[in-house]
Amino acid sequence: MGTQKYILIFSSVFSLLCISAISLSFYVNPYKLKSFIPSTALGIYFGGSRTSKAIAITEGDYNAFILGSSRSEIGIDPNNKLWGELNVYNASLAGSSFSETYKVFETIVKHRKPELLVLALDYSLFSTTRTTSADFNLSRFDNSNNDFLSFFKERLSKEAIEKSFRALKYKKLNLPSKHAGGQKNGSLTFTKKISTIGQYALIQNTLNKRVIRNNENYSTNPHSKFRLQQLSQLIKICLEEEIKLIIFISPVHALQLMTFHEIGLWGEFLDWKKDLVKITKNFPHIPLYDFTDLSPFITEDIPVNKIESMRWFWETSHYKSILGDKILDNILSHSPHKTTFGTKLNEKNITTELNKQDTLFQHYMQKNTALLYDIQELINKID
Amino acid sequence: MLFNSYEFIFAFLPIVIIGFIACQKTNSKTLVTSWLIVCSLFFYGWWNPNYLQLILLSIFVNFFLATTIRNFSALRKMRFAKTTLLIGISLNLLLLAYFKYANFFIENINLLISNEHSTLNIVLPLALSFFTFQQITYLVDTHKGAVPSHSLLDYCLFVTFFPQLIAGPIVHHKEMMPQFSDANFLKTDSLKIAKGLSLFSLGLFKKVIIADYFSLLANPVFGESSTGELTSFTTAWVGSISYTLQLYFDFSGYSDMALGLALMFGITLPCNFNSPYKANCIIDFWRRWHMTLSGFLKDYVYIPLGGNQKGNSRRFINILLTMFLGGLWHGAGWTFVVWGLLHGAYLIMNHAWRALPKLTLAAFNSFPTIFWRPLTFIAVVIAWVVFRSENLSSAMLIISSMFNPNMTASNHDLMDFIPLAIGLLLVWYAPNSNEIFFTNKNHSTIAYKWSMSIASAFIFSIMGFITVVYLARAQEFLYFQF
Repeated sequence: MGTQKYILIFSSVFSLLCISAISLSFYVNPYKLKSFIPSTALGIYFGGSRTSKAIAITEGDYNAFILGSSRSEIGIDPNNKLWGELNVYNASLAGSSFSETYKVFETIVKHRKPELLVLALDYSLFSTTRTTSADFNLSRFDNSNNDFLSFFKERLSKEAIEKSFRALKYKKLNLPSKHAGGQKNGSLTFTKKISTIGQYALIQNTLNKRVIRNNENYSTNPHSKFRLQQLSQLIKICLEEEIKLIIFISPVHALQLMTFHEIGLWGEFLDWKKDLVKITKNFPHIPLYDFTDLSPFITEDIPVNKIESMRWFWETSHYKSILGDKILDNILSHSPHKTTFGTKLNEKNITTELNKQDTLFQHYMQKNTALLYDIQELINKID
Repeated sequence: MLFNSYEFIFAFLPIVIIGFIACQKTNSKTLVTSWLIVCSLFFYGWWNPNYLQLILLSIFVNFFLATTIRNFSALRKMRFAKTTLLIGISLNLLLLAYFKYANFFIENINLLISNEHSTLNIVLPLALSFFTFQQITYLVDTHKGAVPSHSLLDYCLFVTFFPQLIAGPIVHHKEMMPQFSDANFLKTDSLKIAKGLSLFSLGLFKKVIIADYFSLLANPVFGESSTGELTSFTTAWVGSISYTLQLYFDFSGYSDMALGLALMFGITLPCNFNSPYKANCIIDFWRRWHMTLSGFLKDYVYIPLGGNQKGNSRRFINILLTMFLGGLWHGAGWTFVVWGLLHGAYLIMNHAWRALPKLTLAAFNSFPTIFWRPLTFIAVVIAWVVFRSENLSSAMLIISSMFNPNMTASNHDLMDFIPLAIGLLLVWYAPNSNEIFFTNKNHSTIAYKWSMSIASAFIFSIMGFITVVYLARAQEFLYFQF
């Protein structure tokens, strides 16, 4: 065989394979990229990936964004009526750190000036040990990805090919999309699990794997000062760019707070709230809501049998959209009304509020010794 | 720019090859050489354009010094020639000392005198250790009168030629300069291009698919030990063997890519690996691992120190000193120093062993290869643990777990060991790139020789495609940090 024929076969096979893979991702368009080829409407299944969200932000026509972790990704509805005329996108990222949130914010601001940002915070975003997800580096959120690199990562990567095939499979099976407007459909994620093992088992599983054994999110190291600085920077940029900003601390079930207490994180959790107030105190018109105070919502009874299910929570870490609507009612409602859910934290009330929360929390623990015992058993099992 | 990046594969490389062939058509050596130099500098500057000044300054100063040495030698002013050589070596070592070792020095002084001198804000320029060593050899050999006069363009290309610039192989002027002067340099050699493309694909596959996979097994183990956490017996072995395989596939993959790329431009680079884990003793290992560095250390450190010519004690000191410098070359850290010394100790033991009376030796030599090869491999694995660890105490944590089967049980299942077994089978029984592409000798159990067949074209292009698909998550080459 001649050398030129060898080179020709080598180059042809290589090029043909690359062109086939790129054509597949153009045809299926799993990340819903703007394309000169008419969309096959197959690309509706991967709205939660970082690549998809970055594309939605950079190519979409949104003027309000929700930023945060999986809690707000599942719980906050971008199509709630309270948003009014705003075109909202839920840019929250599951399994993220605040450094990722900050990069998402930078991407948003770089592409268009939004009118409103709602920032849903939780303690794990500020964990020192939380690393950046590998998916993040594939997406346009990572500054090192220019248009040239993004083309290959979004069209020719293993992820793009895999997602194209999966999208075709989902289309064939006629499965519903897991994401809409960036919000994750909690029902699709949790209902099957709850009906199979029961909500209590799911809660135990979550506490065990996602909190007690999750050193990355809930280590005993103090929360990251660097990530707090990023929050401070985010606020400053919002002020400079005249972007309306609302911050809130996402609710978690009281049982999760009890777990924080038992793994030695309760004091650290309260200190983190104090640090948030230290940052926001200079900006009185930027509200900081706290939905982890012991309201009837977060102390909702935990079902012990398989038949019952909770109204407000999927498990202790993730709240349902119905509770998210209550949050939106609190933070977006233009006619303020008395509510038993959430409190505004500021420099003046932080000490009293935290003392009050601590006292209520101690009472809750005393009243729920059976739950406390279960948590201790979970912790001891690991030890 | 990384070889395993989209920019390199889909933009830089095709442009450079097309430009190179176009320049060859003009039959102008100056144009061909200049094109490769400009492209190589662009390749280097992609990482940080500021360091282009450094590499250019280093090239011009060394070229000037070499010319001066040559002139003094021609005028028989040998003392001046030697002084110029010493200035040249000192300047190169000073550059290396400042960028690579200054902070290590400050940190250790701080530790010794309990002081808090702040460290310098220095970023180690890419490939500094490689191009410094290459140029020292050029100066030394020029002083010896072993180097004919070269043009500045040829010298520039010798140092900057992008396939070998970043992480070797460490090329010797004797291997490179004649190829630049050869008339074939101006002729497009399609056989070399075909071979180069295939070798590049193989190297890319070794790096992106195999080495990066093993890094996923190795990193958590070394990460945990750096926080002081004890690992189990099995985890320690899984981590250390994974790293052993990762490093080999990473670095030999890089070398294959470098050799393949150079071939596309008609240049043959020296082989850097010859199945090192098939070595039956440590001396054999160092003849097979990073062969161009071993050659450099032997010719420019060990032999000038006296080699084995001044008795056994002096020989052992020379070995230890050479390996100490070899360790330090890899990085400014005690783990590298201890790794070098450990290999020095291994080599001394190996030489002492060989010095045993023939009768005793014969008895031991009757042990089959199946005994010596694993023994050598385990010694190498232990040394890699030190090399990879964040510090010496975390290295000790892993090593102690490796020899304590009573350590707490790990959560590995059988499936975790299958990739390791495949990796070990490959390094022990599969032919290496040299056997596949270059020599006619094949010492491997599994025999495979590259040929220009349809099957080969398919195999290597599919390998290239698979790798390209996985590039998005590819990691940096391990040897870039050295």
